Amino acid sequence: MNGLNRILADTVPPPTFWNGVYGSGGLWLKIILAFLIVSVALVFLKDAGPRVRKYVVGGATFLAGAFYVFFYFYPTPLNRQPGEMPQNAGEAVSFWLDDAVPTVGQIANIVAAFLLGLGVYSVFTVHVKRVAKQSADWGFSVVLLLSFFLMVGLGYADWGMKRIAGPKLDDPSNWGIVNYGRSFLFDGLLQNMDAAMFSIISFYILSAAYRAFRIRSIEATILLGSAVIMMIGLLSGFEYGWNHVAHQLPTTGTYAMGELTKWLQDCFQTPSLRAIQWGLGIGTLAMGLRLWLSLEKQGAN
Amino acid sequence: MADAEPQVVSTGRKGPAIPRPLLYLLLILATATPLFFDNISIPDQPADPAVFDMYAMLMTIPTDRPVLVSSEWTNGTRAESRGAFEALMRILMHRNIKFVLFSIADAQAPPVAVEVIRDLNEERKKHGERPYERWNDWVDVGYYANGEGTAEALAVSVQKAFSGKQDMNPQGESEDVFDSPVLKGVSTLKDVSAFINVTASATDIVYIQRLASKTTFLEFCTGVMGPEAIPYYSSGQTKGLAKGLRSVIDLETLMVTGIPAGGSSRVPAAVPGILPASDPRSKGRGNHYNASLHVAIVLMILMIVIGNVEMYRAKRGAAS
Amino acid sequence: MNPNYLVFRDGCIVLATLGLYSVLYRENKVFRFFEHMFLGLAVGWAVVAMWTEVLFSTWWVKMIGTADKLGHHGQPGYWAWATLLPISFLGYLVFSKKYNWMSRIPIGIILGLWAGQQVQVWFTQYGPQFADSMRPIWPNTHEFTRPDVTGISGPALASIKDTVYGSQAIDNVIYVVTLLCVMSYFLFSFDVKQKLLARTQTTGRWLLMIGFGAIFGSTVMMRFSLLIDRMSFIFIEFVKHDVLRR
Repeated sequence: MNGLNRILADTVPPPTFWNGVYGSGGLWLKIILAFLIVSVALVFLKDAGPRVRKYVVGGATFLAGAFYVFFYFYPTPLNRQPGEMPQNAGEAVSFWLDDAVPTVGQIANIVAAFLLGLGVYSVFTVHVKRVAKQSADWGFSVVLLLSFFLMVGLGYADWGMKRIAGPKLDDPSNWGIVNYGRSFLFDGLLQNMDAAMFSIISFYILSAAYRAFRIRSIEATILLGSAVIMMIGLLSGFEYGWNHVAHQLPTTGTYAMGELTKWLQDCFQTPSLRAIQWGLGIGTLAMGLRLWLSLEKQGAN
Repeated sequence: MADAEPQVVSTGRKGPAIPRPLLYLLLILATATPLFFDNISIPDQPADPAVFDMYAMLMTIPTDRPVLVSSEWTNGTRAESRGAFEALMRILMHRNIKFVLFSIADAQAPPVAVEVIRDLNEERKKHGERPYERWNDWVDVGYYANGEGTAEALAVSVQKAFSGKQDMNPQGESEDVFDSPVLKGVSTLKDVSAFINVTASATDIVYIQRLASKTTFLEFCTGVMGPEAIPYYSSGQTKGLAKGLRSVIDLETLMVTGIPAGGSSRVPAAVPGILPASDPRSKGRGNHYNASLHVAIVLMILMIVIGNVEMYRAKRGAAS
Repeated sequence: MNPNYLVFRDGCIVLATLGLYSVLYRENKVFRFFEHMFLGLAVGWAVVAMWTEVLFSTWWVKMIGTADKLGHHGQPGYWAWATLLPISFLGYLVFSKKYNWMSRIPIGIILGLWAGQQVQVWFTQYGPQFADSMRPIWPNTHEFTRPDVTGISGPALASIKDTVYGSQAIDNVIYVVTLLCVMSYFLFSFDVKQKLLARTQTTGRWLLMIGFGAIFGSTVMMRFSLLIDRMSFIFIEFVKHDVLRR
């Protein structure tokens, strides 16, 4: 447990079996061996029968989830000080869990980052095949692949240059063609095209509201009324004028626009959205339990 | 796409009277024209208690501890999110609060946020103020692909969640971020003064689920997410909430006027503004867009009314 | 930054924006050109960020360690991180017809971690909301309206906050009724035959529309603000500042 605690605590420890000095042959040998051993084990696993597959996938899922369930139910250390050692076995387990959570989070980050490449690989292969076979509209696939390689090349080059040159390159006056290229592609084209794509929806919203937003039923009327009140409440100028009139009225209460929208929000909007969220939450919890226990049919078949 | 959209017939025999291209042109005119009349200022009287609480909390959190800023927005939601992020940065920089920048939602988010900080530094230099230095005043710990795991790790130990992350020191060397003045001595969430989420996606739920009870959690979200975020503010899980462009406008107003005593439910004392009304920075992105927002929403309401009038007339025509 | 570069860059952005907007007229080759360019850039950036933002510091540096620098000790490398590489690459076997079952191992790990967290997060997310929903529906004072609290602080303010006024009690009743009616609407597991329950479900549906109307209104604001931002970029940042230099 001590060696594992050291890994998980991530301090500057003395050399142990689990680590090695930067750049040393011993460390690289261990890295390569670890990679090979796990790879060979997985190669042997690939021809496993359906029953073994079910237990392997289900087991991996269950063990991963069991960590957090165990962490949640096991008592957490109270007022733990840096460098404090556990007093007994029970406390040692709680210290280990506490130290393990960030490491498990890092494992999740690493696996998720590698899996991000799935989408990239999928897009890449589809368009490379289109160009190779010269299918319909393959010219657009060339545009996509060209943009892809330019971004990857300039992105890595820019990153490499910034690692070497340091904060000097925070000042655009020190930029070279690579830095300008990366800025053009990322800050210029990618970011602004992203904004343009999202903004197209506003045209469709206006068109849809004009054509389809009709008072045909009680529900539609309530929806429309609530939407119009909310939209009017967003107009600070209208609210300013309304409040000016409201404060002239000889009433004991206030009919300021903000009070009215707040009342609608507190009495109607919050409880209805809360009720929806609770329903969704129960569904999510149920789905979580089903996934954890591999009760979903597609689990390991 | 556009020409596949079916011709919606309201009722009866006729289709809508206003053709789609004209609608689109009206929308472009409605949004673009007011931008040319920038000297017209639309009055604003903030009333949203969530925004009051947001401003009050930002102005009263301790300055001797850093703030964690989870910046989850990209230029896809620039209109609202950039204005919110700029307002947040202006307040933190005014109060000399150090911050840590990171993201769990989008790999594009950290460089977008860094660009805003760079622009604000240029603005500060023009006004004779000290630019906020990377490493000494803020660090960027980058993007984390697994948000749930990272949030869980932050709840247990900030030091371990960000362990191994490096940033550039002023000498141009990569160093561990915990050697920087920003994160030196920071171990857990108790060592940070607030956790601020500027988001355009559901990352607020991820944080509320895992760490909002352990720190002062503040949220800037887009208008779409606003209604769903209100229950969390109402229950006290979020201590301050700014939702959408209207909240950004209100926040910019509060940065000038401040809040009177009793205005915020979380801070009973009065909270001062940070910018004089004469300062050009007092009219931020939100106020620049306010006039266009008014015209666009009025157009929207008008179109809904016209559409319903057309339906009513078509019904009457069909009945007779 | 070089002003000529800015004019060139902003000009290209405006061209790309108008190219994407051309889809409003109809699907066309200009739109598809910029659409594919956008996708290529986005996917390319994902590849760059995958390594530079995540894997380099979280995995590679941890695995190989860091060198000693002036005044700083280097960190040792931990070889165990190398085992994650073959496990993660199993995910790419999803494209293999024979071995795609192995891709469920890393995906199962991610899903398992998420599922395991749900037990904890359900209570931390909804617990405070249940508590907030338990609101007093009976006033404890004869005063109907709450006094203005501006300028009031200390025990006087605390006393006002603790008192349930008549108007607040009515608001709380509306709140509780709305909550229960909307929750009753989501009872889909059985046929609702009882009249009272059917009526509460109908009421719940109407009350739900208020929430949806609010969401619609907020969505309109957000989408319009995106368009306003684009118009600001085209007409103000590009035409006015870059081209006309005003």
